[in-house]
Amino acid sequence: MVADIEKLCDVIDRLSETKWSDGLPIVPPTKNQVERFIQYIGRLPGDIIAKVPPQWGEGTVEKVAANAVMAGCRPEYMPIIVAALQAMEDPGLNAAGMLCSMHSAVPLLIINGPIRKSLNINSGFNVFGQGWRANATIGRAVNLTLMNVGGARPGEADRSVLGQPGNYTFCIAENEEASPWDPLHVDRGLAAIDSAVTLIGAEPPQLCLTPSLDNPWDILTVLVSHMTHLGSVTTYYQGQSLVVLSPEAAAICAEARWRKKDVQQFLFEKARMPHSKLKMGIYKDATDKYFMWPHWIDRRKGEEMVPMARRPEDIVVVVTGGPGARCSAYLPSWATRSVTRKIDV
Amino acid sequence: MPLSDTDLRKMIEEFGLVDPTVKEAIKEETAKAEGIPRLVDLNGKRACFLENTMESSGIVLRRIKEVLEQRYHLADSRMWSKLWYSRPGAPALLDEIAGKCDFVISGIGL
Repeated sequence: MVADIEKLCDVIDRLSETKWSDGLPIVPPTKNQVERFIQYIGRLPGDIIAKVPPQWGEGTVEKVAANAVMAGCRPEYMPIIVAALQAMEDPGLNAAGMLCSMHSAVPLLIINGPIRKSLNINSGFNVFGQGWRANATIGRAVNLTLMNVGGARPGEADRSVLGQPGNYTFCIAENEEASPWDPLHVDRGLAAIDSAVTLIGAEPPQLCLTPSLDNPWDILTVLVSHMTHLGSVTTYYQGQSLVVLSPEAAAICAEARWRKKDVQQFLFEKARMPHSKLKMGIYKDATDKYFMWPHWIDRRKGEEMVPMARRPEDIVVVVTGGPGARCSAYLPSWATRSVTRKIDV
Repeated sequence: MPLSDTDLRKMIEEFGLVDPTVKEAIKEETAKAEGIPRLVDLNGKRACFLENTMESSGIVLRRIKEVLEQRYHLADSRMWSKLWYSRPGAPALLDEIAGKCDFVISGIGL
């Protein structure tokens, strides 16, 4: 028995030196293990789930299952991985561009609906952090598939200069029970009893601490300070960005009778920078090119105030995380729009 | 040290593993590109220089355009721009280029 374990460790060690791995040890994708995952979703091994970006390799059931095994998933996670990979094909997400870019945004998975509970997907303490197998391995399985099937290997198709920790895994759930508002998938037209995954291109979360603030104006003004900086591509290309409110921060807004769309409107109105300042930013003096800015911005005027999104609803708001410190977070994005897909369970 | 392909194939057989990677799609795209007939002479041809809206892309391509115009008698030579560097060229743009050009030089850059 001990000898078997030692041999398994040796196999894991050797496989982790191959291009199959993201740098962390991987579970060997044996035929038996992969077969368990295939059987769970009841499809043929050669069925194509999705063409996988950035190089649009054929994501067959067998290939996706093998990557899910390597990531350490349970077979029950497969429907989420399937839905996420299918959402990846949506041109609005611009996944191929995102995954090849020198930028650091990668697809973040946001899970909604009853599947959060049935699979114990974390939406509480440390929601972006470690400690939950489902969050850790579902996100990892998707990223391994992007790498092994889609070709998103660093230095090859993936040209990100710095990358980010979300390249390993980037998967959260919304804390629907603690939210005063409809969850994200209901905003997108699905039923509350549906389960869904939303993909949004995102940089790592920027924490906004507001422990002593007790009203929406003050809390959101801190968020505004994070949203208005010169280094963000979101500022220039007006992709959809993500604002995460902790349940306490959302409750303070709701107690003041703010709806989610009031939060979005506030951030749209207040998170603005003058055109003259933006000209000092990443594409110096070339801001006349930024056609995604709303038409009402007069690009001839330096004092014109430019919002950080094209429309209020392009500032996507979700409620998640645990109690304490009335935290929020801002996740800048890229030239990408979020995509929501129902999970077939 | 990374395992060699030979050693990896041995491991796949020895332990009954499923290869999680896909190489075929990329090869197919490469084969398609390799199957396109090459031009043997640029004289008399219509040239397209497709820049991706990033500054250095345009700088390099404009210089290449100048050099080729000096060296060859091009029937036509013009710059084109993608709408946005982060997205593929719009199908209508690519169709228009295909109808008006004999060859395309493109490039990316920041």
